[in-house]
Formats: sequence, structure tokens, C-alpha cells
Amino acid sequence: MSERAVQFGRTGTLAGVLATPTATAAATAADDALPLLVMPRSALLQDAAPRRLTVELARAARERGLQSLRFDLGGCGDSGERPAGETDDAAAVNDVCDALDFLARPDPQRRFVLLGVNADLDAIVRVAAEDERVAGLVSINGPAFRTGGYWLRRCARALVFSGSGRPDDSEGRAAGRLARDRHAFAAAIQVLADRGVRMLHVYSGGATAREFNHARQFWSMLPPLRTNGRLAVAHLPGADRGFTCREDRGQLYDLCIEWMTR
Amino acid sequence: MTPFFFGDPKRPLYARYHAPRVAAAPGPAVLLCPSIAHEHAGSSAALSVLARRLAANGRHVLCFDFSATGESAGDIGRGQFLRWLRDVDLALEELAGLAGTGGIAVAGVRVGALLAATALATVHRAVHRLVLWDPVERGAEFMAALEAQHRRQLGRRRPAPAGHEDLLGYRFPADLRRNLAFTDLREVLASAAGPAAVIARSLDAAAAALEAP
Repeated sequence: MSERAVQFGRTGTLAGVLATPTATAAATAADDALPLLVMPRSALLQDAAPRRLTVELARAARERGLQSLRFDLGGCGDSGERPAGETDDAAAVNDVCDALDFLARPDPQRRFVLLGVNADLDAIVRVAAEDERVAGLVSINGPAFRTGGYWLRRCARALVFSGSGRPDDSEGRAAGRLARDRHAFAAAIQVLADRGVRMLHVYSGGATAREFNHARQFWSMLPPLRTNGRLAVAHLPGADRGFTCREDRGQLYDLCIEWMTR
Repeated sequence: MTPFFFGDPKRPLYARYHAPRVAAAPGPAVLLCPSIAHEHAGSSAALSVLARRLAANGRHVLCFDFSATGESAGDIGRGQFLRWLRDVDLALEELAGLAGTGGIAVAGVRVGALLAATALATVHRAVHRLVLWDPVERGAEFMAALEAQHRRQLGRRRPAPAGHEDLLGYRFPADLRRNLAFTDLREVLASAAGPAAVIARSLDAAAAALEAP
């Protein structure tokens, strides 16, 4: 076991767990340039952002030689309250920057991959757009916008399954500013691509299928983008929004880790 | 609040220690036990509120995650029920070291309450008070409710094969199901020689029971 509870940040009250690969895993990875995975967490509800998902991903990544930090944003989970006077959005951005500063202290050349689930994406996109240390970004069930193709696939599915395969609508859609504005989302992606940030956007099935039902939809729901192969989209239609089944979580972890180590 | 890992270095448990915010009050330190599986996150958040309130009133408070839940290490496997009971004992020892003398009170939520009461009935450790916050009174009912929720949430998408171990994405091996199903809070309390348990139905009631002189 090589996990260490840490506290950091401008008030010293952001709480997280730093997972370091075992010597064997690090030697097998044999790549000092592997980025460090940073996973800020904000949501409490299991369906929105399962805490255990970040724990399991950190441990799976560690076995493959990747270091990671999972931490709670200010006012959430084990972290202390946000500093007075900061808005929610600004505080989240500052918290992610604090995490990068904390992690870069022993190695200023270190590069990072930020991972956000649903609404957590807004803060990490803003940081990734401006912070040169961010080399990659993983979005899980981020913004999605319906397209003509979406409606065709949805209607076809409804006909085939006569209603029994209708999407589970017991949960909500992606949250956050970017999820409400496709032009803002596209602009943010373009900024990241221009800066050379690699991106992986993963969408599940379940309630997410109310907004997104095919990997190709990502490209048709946004204005044309110049990503130069830096953006990958994965669709896991068998998984529900919270990746409740262990097999689905395993698939998600493999996908993220393979993308990070590629 | 100070987070840290403790216990067996191969399977450390994650804990949050809340030191007294004012001069330590003349009362026992408090160990808080969250629930498990899908109830863990919610119960842990509720216990954080309780912990801050108790620490603000001068108590040492330790809240930990049972092994293979929350941030604690390990995967759920055979012998898990007994391991969880041992976790309570380990956490009591850790809190005693942090708080020094003055005694210890234990509070648990839902399954955490059931595990805490069961552990205290077997570990022979002196505990001044036991507070059970909205406890699971019969493990069998908890398992039945969990299975029903699994069927509702995932049944159509992933019909569970015979002998399946997973419920709502959490492993529940046969021996863990059996142990939980056979655990009855009333029987546990009747057989225990420890302090009389107080059942609380709200955060305020739990806090009042723990802060009572």
C-alpha cells in the first residue's frame, strides 16, 4: 500500500490522497515522463461522481506505474470550507491550481492529466487552458448536445425495443456552465487543442443516453474543431451514468490508463 | 481535521481526526463509524458535520472508513464481516492513543451502527457510551432492501446471474451476506455487557446523546 493522506492549498485544508506506484510497477512503466493524474471531486451523490470510482482508478493507475492525487474541492468531503469571498467557480479553479502547485513543488517539470466527472469539468478546463503544466484532460460524462443523428438513433432504438430499451431517465444531465453552452464548450476545446493538451471524452449509457448515444455525436454536436488528433472520444453504452457495475468501471479504468500511458 | 491512514500497513484504514477546537471538554472522545456500500458517502458526510460539532465543543473525534470502503485499502473478500469488526477495535485503539485518558464513546450510522454494536459486544473494550444513529436493526432487512434496489436500478440493464456477488456495484460475497443477514441488533444489544445503547433518529439527537454529561 503506497497511499498517503495529504493536506495542502492556500488555507491548508484541502484534503486528498496521493497514490504512488509500487517500485515494481514504477520499474515496469519505465517512463519518468508519465503524467500525474489529478482528480478533483466535488459531488457528494454517488450517481453524480462516485467517490469510490476515483479511489479504484487511482489504485488501478498505480499498478500501471502512474502516480495520482484525488482530492475534495473546498467545502466538499474532507476538505475545509472555501476561503470567504470566493465564488464557487473561482474557488474550484483556485483549488485545482493549488493541487498542481503542491504536486509540482518537488518536481517543477512534472506534467499533469486532470480528470473531471460531470460538473467538475468546468474548473479543470479553465485550469488546463491556462496552466502549461497540464498535458491532458479526461472528461467523464461531460457536456453533450442532441443532434439530428441523436434523434434518429433514439427513435430507431425505440422502434426496435418497443419502449423497453428507452433510456433510463431517473438521473439528470451533465451540469455546469459548459454543459449549457455548446459554443463555449467548443471554444474551450479549441483552446486546449491549440495549446497541445490531449483530451479524452468518455460518455456512458444510462441517463447520459438522454443526451448522447454515439461516439460520432461528439463531432456533429459542435462546430468544426481543429484538434490534430489530440482529442479522443469513447462511448460505453452498456455502462450506466454512475458506472455502477464493476465490469463497467474496469473498462473505464483500462480506457483511461491506456490513454494516459500511450 | 487531519486525515491519515492507520492500522496494518498492508491494509491501512483511512481516518479523519478532529482535534478539540476549544479546551478539551470533560467527556469521552468519540469514534464515528459510517455505513457501507451505497450508503457510505452520505453517512460519511453526515458524520463529518457531527464530528465538527463535537470537536467545536471540545471533544476528540475520529471518523474512519471500514476496510475496502471509502478511502480505506483493500477489496471486499472472504471474512469481511470479521475484518470490519476488527476495524472497530483498531480504530478504538488509535483514538485512545490520540485522545489519551478520558474514555471513549462510539457512534455509528446505519450498518456502521450495527457493526459498532456487534464489535463492542465481542472486543471487551471499555466504552462509555454507544449511540446508534438510525441503525440497521436487522441485517437481513438491509440485504433485502439492497437486493431490491439493485433489481430496480440495474435489473433491466444487467440481470444478475445466479450466484452473483455484486449488489449496486459492491461485492457482497456469500459469507458476508450470511453474516449480515444473521445479525440482529436487538440480540446483539441483549447479549452485550457494555453500556446501554442510545438510539438516535437525527443529527441533533446523536450529538445530544454524545454530549450528555
